[in-house]
Amino acid sequence: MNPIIILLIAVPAIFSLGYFAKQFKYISVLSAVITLAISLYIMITQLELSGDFLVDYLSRYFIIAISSIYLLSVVFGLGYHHKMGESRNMRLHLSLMDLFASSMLFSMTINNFGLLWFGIEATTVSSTLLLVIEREPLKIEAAWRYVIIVSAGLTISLLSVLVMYYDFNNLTISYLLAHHQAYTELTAIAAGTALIGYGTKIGLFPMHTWLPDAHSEAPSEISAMFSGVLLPVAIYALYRVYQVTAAPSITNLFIFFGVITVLFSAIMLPSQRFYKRMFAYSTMENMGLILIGFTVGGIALTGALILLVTHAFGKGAAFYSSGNILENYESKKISDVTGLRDRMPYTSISLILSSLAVTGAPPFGTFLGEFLILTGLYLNGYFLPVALIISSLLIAFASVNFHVSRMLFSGHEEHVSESSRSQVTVALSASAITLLIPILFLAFGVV
Amino acid sequence: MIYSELEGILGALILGSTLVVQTRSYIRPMINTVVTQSVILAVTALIIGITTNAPDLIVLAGLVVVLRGILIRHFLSLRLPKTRMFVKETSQGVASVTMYSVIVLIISFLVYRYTFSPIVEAPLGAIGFSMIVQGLLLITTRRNSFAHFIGYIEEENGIIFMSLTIVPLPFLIEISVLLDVLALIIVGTGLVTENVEHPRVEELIG
Repeated sequence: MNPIIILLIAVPAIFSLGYFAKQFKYISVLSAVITLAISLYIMITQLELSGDFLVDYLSRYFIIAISSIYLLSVVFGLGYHHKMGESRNMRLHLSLMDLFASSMLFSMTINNFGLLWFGIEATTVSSTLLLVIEREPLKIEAAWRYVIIVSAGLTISLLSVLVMYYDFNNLTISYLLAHHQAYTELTAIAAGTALIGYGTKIGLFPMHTWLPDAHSEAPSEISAMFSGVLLPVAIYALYRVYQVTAAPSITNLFIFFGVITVLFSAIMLPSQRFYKRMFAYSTMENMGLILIGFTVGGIALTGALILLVTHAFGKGAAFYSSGNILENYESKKISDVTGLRDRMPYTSISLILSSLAVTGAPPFGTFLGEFLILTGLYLNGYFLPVALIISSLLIAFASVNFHVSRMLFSGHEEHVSESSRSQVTVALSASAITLLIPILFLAFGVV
Repeated sequence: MIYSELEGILGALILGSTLVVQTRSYIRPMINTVVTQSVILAVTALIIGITTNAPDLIVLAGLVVVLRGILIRHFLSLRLPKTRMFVKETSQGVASVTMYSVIVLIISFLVYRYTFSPIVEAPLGAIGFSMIVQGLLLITTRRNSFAHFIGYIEEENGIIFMSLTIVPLPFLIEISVLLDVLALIIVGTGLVTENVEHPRVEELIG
């Protein structure tokens, strides 16, 4: 077992015991900082593993995204929930965030399809209570929908594990990638059930129903973790199954689900009344695109990786900004937020930057990612999907930015009332990183 | 031969319990039925473990009894409202749900027949597959938190039954799945409030 990976998973898990310590807040921050440092080490040294754990070019990007959003969310959460002081709920919240990060990192690195399923289900267990820190009925309802719909869906992906084991008599991911990328009728069933099961966690249409509810009702730093990294972890699991079971018919099925998810979110976005819910539908759109990119491969895969990392920070920034707005306006309704640029000048900047980032405006990394995905699709002859996606992206871009503009520019406010410095800094930093990502990708190359 | 017939009989009993759960309006009998189902499942694992000389399946049988037969029942019973002796599901009529479930059962058998059967030599797997579908049906047709839980447990029982009849999964993974479900039930029961039904909420529409 590689000690670096053990540390990567164990640090947040062990530091979650900070629940019992007086300095629990510092312990959580320290856990996130150490985890990010280990992730950077893995990235810089280009660590490759395929024993009990599997680390390759793909998982390294996911690991760095998870660690970064984990750190940003912990710092943001400390400011956002400052009124909770040192209460038991706050301790539990931070401990569960640590466990949540640990379970995601476990899923990203484990080299076994069965344990990968276990890791994904563990993310559900550790994240459910994160939604209900405030114990409000609406949040409990959203958490309930999340846990039941996602768990019921994930059980179907366990069927995929069973079928793969029956077919290959082995569940080691690296072994199957090396020896069994062959199409049989059984692998088709495995891919189909994985698509339904993990697709529920990813939020693919029509299994997405939990997603807008959970994202809109979760505390903002948890929405950021859900949208930015949890859903991509489920995409990773689905992609690993796809890599082993790939066949033209399965490719078309995956692309079909990706396209209808993008299309559906574009249809839903113009009529949104709540800003967090709006960003949740935007997440669906991006997840659909990332799935398409992974499925098509080649430059589309590169595009999907760029989109994935940029989206993690961009959507993180959007939800952090939403949290700041919610704290000040005490309403999630778009129509209730007026004069934002006067009242919250810094949050306005992070909100507009993040909304441009998540809707794929140039020069953000999302634009580059989407461009590469569409090019990959086009080069593979998927002309109708390209046309549908471009139309959907235009609708989504116009809808999200129109709603955000209304919040920024309608009305006028006399007094300035920003959130805490740490919250504003986190939101601004995350949105600034989205601008840096394409430069980093172009400067250092990708995959 | 005798053992395989016994497996078939146990499978039929499990399937019967799945249909009985669908027809239940009161929650406590529903919980008891799914617990009975879990115990029959454990007996099936025990018999297969003995006949195939697989000690891990015998351990699995014990764990199913402890985790699903005792612990999960305990956690669910703890959350049943004490002020009302009998909690009744109000969202669906029993007659219509019974009809749906029989129709869905036939469809799930047909799906198994035309997808799995030509490539998997395990006709009893159809029972596990049907249980998964019935569990999903229970979740989608009911508004009661307990019914949702029971639907989920049925799904997981279906997976274990399929695994027993098609190919037993590695022991580590079976244990992980069992513990995961238990953890999920414990976490989920924390969300069950006094109002166990789930109405439409304006903020969560659209």
